Amino acid sequence: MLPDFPEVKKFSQESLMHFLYMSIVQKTGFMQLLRQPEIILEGNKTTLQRYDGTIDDLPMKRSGAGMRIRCDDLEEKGLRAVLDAIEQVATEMANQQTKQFIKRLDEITRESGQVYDNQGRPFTFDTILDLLETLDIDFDKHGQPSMPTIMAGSQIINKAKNLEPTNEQNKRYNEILGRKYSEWRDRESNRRLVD
Amino acid sequence: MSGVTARAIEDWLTNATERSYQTAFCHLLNAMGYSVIQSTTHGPAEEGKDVIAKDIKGKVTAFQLKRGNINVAEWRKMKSEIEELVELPIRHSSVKQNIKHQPVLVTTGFINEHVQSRIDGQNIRWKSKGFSRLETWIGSELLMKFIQHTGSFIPEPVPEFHRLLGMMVKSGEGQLDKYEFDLILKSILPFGEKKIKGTTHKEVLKKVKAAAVIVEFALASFDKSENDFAKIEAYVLFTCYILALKIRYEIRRENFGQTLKIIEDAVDDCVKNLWDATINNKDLIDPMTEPVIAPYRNTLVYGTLAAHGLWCLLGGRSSWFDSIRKDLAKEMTKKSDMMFLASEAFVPAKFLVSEFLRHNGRIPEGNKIFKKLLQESILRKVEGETSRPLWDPYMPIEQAILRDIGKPQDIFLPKTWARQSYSGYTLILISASRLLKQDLQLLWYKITSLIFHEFVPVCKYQFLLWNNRNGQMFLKMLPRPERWSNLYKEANSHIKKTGVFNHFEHWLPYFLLVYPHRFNVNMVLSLVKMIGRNSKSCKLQS
Repeated sequence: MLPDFPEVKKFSQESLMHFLYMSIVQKTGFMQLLRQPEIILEGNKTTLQRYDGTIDDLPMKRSGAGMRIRCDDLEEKGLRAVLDAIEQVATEMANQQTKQFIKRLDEITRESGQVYDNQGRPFTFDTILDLLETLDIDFDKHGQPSMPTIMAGSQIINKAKNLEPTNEQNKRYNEILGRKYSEWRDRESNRRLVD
Repeated sequence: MSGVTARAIEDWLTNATERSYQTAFCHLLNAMGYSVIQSTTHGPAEEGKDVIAKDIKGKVTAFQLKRGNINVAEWRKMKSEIEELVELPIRHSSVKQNIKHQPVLVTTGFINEHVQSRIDGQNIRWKSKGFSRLETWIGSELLMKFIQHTGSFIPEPVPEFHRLLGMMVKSGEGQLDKYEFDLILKSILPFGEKKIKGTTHKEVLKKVKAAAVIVEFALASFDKSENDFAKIEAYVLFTCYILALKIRYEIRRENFGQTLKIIEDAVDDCVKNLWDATINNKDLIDPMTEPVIAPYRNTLVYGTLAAHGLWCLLGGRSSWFDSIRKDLAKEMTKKSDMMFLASEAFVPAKFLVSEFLRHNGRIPEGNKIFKKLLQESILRKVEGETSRPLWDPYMPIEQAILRDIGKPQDIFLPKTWARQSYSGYTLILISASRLLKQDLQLLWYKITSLIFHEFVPVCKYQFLLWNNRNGQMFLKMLPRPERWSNLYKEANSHIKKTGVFNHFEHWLPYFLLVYPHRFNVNMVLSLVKMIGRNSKSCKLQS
């Protein structure tokens, strides 16, 4: 038998799995926004009871992809061959997870009545303000808002980047933020044990 | 059965310590159809009899257990014990007075031919005096009996078999790997995905009896290292798996009585050793590592001793515990500030200490420990720059300690502590039932940032297994705001039946100690209620 190094192998495998995970996180985008992924240590289902009492079943979805590395590539490119294959797997899994995420998000927003229909009108700064009206916004201890993230196609994103708010829209934006701030303070003041 | 298995059993038999050999021997008798009525665990054999058992026909047999070869010198040393074994009648409440018994000398080695001829000579004299002849079971016969009654139940396929062998030969100084042990037990006992139709109670019981001996094989390395804590954990797991089978196959409790009785004796024995080691360990400590290890060890050891104290209160048998009860309470109070938590696996241990103190005349001390436990269990789950993580209860104890003392965190390890709490909600409701409103109010803002986890299995019996692939993790956020009256009501209405523990109350403290991920509201509040009820009846009796 050739000399073997099981500990090094184990560490290398863990490193590559971590690389795969980080690649998926990067490619999906939305996973970077999650504060802390929920790790389920037992069972195959989860149910969440929220603070408002609503209960939601959170089914686990499988995502996976096959990986193939040719021996010739391994000899020629070494570790690069493995990393390339992992990149491919990450892309495929990120696609699957993004689709699952958007589908689930769609279901949740429909169930909770948070769907905003722009009714075919052009995407403007007012559309963003209308959307903000429907959302809860959190603030940090300095009063700075933690603004929501827009997930959209590249056209909308480009358009959103180039939107210049008018004075009136700016005023409305500040009004919304002010209202959201007091709503947030109300929510925060509810985080207590009362008689 | 493979030759490797036979060899492994032979090796175990040669190297087993006296205690483990005696426990395994009792389980063997049980598997052979005997019913063990007495097994002396502490000190020398009573009147030459280590184990007394009745066979299927009701014939009483007394066993004297020896290890190794018996030569003439050995025989001379043990002669008086053997005479007592043969000549003195059995004095036991379940044996009629002056009934003739069968004496058996059992050894793991062989009996020298000169000794055998002396035994033959003695047998003639004993017969003439009206006593039974002394029978002998030597090592090779004993080995055959062990193989015959366990061999077909030992897992043959790889990797299960390797797992068992691995456990037998590894270093016994560390902690029990509960995931490994779970897999070993599942490979011996009928816990398959589908309940095998037509599996009779008799078959299940046969497997349990064989498994009891196999568990002793598996614990060989811990036994050699005198690792009583690991053995206690293993015995508790095994007991819970037996109780799980009881639920799954609807078997009556008395069918498991013998096996559980032997396990209970073994646990009692291990806890006794743990206590002896606790009070006598001053000469054995390593000054370099002791300050680091001691606070974590204290939590686990005193938690185990507290569980044993509560076990006695709830009907468990122990001949020695009452004599140390006061000293233990004093020691616990003295060490209460030096009981650290590395993960939620330590929470039940500390909770049991507080309960033990509360019910042994030290209510303020018990309450103080409880309040500190509540505080730590909440604050150490909140993410922040200075937060000291309280890891999840699934993490192996030693791994959690390593992280708590500052071993660089594994970069690949997800933060399975932040905002996720398995024991927090239980502690909150206990606080509510004890009217600790102010303490809760101070912590409430932080409490609202946590998500409380509870595992709900598909079938009831799975709750007693260490880990399940199927089942639901129930995640709960608390209302904003929460009303004290609701919380108080919830705390006082939550007590439901604890299933199998209604009939095995004394095992509940141990269950919580060894299964920290099952430290749920229902179980813990029921325990508190059971303790309260039994405490009252003890006071009334006294």
